[in-house]
Amino acid sequence: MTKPILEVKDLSVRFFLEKEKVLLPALNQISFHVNNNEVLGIVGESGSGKSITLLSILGLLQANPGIISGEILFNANEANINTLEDISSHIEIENFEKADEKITKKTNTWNKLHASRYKKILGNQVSMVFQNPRLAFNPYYSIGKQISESILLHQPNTDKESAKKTAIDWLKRVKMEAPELRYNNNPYGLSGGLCQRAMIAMALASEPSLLVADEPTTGLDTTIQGDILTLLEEIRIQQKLSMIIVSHDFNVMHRLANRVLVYYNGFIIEEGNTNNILDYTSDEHHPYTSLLLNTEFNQHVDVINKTKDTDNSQSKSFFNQCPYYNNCLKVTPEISNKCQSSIPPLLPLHDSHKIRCWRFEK
Amino acid sequence: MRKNNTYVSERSKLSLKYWFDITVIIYCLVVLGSVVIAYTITTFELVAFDYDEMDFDAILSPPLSAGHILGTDYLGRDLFSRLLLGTQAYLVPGIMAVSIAIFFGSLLGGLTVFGSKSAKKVIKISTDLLQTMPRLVLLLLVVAIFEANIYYIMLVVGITNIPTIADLISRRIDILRDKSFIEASIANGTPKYTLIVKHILWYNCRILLIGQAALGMAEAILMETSLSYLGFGVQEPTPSWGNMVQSGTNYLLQGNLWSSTIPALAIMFVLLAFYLVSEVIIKRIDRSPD
Amino acid sequence: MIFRAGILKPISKTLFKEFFSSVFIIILLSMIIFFLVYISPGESLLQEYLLNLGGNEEEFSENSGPINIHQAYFSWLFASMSGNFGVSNSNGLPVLGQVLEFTANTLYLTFSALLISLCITLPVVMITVSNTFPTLSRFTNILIRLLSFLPLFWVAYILIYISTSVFDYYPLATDYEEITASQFILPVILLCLGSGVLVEIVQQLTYEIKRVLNEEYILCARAKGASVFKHLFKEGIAFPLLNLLSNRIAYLFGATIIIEQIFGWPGIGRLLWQATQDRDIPLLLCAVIICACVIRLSHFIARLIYVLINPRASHE
Ligand SMILES: Nc1ncnc2c1ncn2[C@@H]1O[C@H](COP(=O)(O)OP(=O)(O)OP(=O)(O)O)[C@@H](O)[C@H]1O
Ligand code: SF4
Ligand SMILES: [Mg+2]
Repeated sequence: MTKPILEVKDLSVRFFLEKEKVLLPALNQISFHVNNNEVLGIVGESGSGKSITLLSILGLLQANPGIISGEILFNANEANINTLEDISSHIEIENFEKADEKITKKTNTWNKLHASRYKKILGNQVSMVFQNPRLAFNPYYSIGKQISESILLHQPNTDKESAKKTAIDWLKRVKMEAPELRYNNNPYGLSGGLCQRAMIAMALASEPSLLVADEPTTGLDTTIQGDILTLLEEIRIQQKLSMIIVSHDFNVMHRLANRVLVYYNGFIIEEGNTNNILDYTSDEHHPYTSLLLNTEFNQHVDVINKTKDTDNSQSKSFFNQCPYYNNCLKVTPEISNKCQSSIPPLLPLHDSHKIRCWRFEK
Repeated sequence: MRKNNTYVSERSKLSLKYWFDITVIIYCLVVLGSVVIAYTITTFELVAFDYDEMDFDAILSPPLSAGHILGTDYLGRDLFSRLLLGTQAYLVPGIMAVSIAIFFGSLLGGLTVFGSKSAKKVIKISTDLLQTMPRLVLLLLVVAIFEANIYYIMLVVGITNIPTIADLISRRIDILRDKSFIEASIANGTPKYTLIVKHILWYNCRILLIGQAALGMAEAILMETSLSYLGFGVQEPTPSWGNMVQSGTNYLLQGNLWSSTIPALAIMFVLLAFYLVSEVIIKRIDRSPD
Repeated sequence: MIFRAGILKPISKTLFKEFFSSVFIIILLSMIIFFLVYISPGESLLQEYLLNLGGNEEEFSENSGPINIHQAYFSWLFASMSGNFGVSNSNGLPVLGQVLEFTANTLYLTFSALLISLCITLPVVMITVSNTFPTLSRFTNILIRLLSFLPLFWVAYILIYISTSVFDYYPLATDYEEITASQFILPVILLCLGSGVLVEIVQQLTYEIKRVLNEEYILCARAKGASVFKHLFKEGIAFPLLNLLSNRIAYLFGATIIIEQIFGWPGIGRLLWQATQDRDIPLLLCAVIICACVIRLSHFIARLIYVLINPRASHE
């Protein structure tokens, strides 16, 4: 078996909210891997840390203290590069388990080291489709120039003319009409959907081996969505591309993803093959996933009335209870104590289907 | 959510940066505190200073000479007392100049939110007009027409600083408009007054404005010294730091450094304190990532 | 190519707009200055000046009372429109020639000062923003402020004192015709320090660059592996600099006077000062108008460059 192209182990991210003097746990011990020529899907509610995961993978996380522990392994030319190697020597964590934790991070030296490690990876190995394409384009250059820039940067021995041709070709492939004219357009002259497509063209143009896409089809109408999905599928087969795709849309997962991760509040709460996760008839799901699936596929289920009355003031420290406890409707009396006092691990069910819920403990 | 978590970046208690920050704060407190004390003492005449008494035995004496801590000027007047009294010339007028510039500047800049074309045009033409006028000419004419009063001078300095601030704010508004912030707030039903004062000026421009206030203070005080050099500043025998430096420089080329250097350094230290205070405040309220 | 052709129209449009507003502003300014001169003491001089303009002698000599300000202004305006700014009260020469020559001298000073201050500030800003040497950047930032917060003429005297007593060299120009490089360099450096240019550029540019660095498109550029500087350049550096420099020229035109006075430099600041001292009204009016023209021209050029490099300007 070949090595996975990207492996993330125990990635933890914290943000420091200066005004409230609180460390916000944005990601907690996230582990996953992406195999060669595989598509990994990530679903989860808004604010659950999906974009943060992607930014961490690309080394673009900026706020303090940011990544505090973990490993991110890129498999390039049969050699593993761990971009978080040595992070523990830049960081001191006291009392990680207890309520009060103190993190000291030498941000300056760490950022420099981090940036130098990513120099060869960005663009060549991995490129990203940003969530908000209108903001992600530089408003003062034409989109064509920005696309050919990324071609020129990552394909040595191409001249400007051929880069322009390739860029126009890419614009054509993402179904832009009149690509020669659009080449000279500035981002503010494009609609959100057009920007989205140009963004995808730009990410693909540098021909990475891993494409990281943050909601690539959100701003598009259904027909174009279908076209883009077909394109991504095509390219995956042609160029042996691996992808990580973040989306709210189960349809996208169904068409593209081989495996799916479900996020909740900075935790992976369920992971498994697409058909396992999307199987809404089965009962072997995390309560949150079942809720998602029910709203998606059995619309007659009235979800709104099913919220739980929890007394938040009584809930104990966030770190020591199941992340979903406050909203969970499936707590049974036998496990209630456990749910309240400890975080469940990702419990394996069958063929790589794992669920973070005490109900599935054997 | 758990409280009282601590995140400490490199700034550990023993680092250079930490001590540097402490020094800065102590410095600002000492300098600005002594300016305010000097101001109150001289205003209410708590201690009598003979700023006009001439000691002909000790003309142009260096600091730490007998009876004069900071030495004397060319007429043998005590520099220390004159320095204390010089604060009278600056504190209130300088703050006045800064507040005029900031108040009217933000008013003019803020009014561009409404984007009615004619209002924008009027604002643009009036700020352009102020910008086009060589400031010194205006100052000289005002001094010629009225008198060399520090309040008139600071009024002109404040007014001529309005365009800079208005320009900064209207550019900032353009950026916010770009991000649909203003449209969103109006659609939310935010009253226009709240939008301008709270959301635009306070949340989005305060860093700029504080920086500009420190700069404006510097500009106002240095302007007065420049005018003093030309003989239009605060008039003798009333002391101002500007005319003290000016009278001192007449004797500088013969080697009498002190009588001009002391007020010049005083100006520098006070302005530096203003700048550092602005920097400290900005650091505390700036929440953008490093 | 249709898109390329489209850029000419907005440029010519801005050109026209800026030009007319400039003319309007200069006329407005001349009114204000004329009014200030009119109400300032010594108005008989104004009358004498208007008589010297040559045009309407009879009109004024008839009523020897105070001059009607409308008449006075318009007779001045029409005369000056045709290039006749009159002759100087003090030396009897036509003022326009003098003013232009002195303006050119000051322009040398201001442009060199702006150039040098750019050379000083840009590295400082870059060090500050890149955060590579935090301590160094902090100290250079404070040093720049320290130097700019000193009274200009005091620094000038100190430098002259050092130059004469230590290096035994007298740096003041004695002959206006032949100003050597060494006599030129001291005023220029002093002008950089003393006019707040350094502080203003450092402060504004640092702020703008930091703001732009937080924009999402910079993140995207980094994700591509592209140069951050290139993507930052237009919004973070070029636009604020254009604005700052064009604004500062106006300021420098006033600030030069001290330098010109100390170093005996025949510039416009000194001319203006002399004119107000001597109540040389033709000279004063002409100098103010020429200054205003130079300032408007610099704004105009800045605006032109802005429209050329910013594709969005055509959308505004
Ligand atoms: N710079 C920051 N400082 C503090 N907190 C942050 C910062 N960036 C993100 N967060 C927090 O991290 C959490 C995860 O954010 P993230 O952007 O990953 O959400 P998401 O899953 O992508 O949501 P969406 O689907 O809306 O895009 C959020 O709760 C957010 O408040
Ligand atoms: S562990 Fe308990 S609280 Fe958490 S999801 Fe499972 S049943 Fe609900
Ligand atoms: Mg997101």
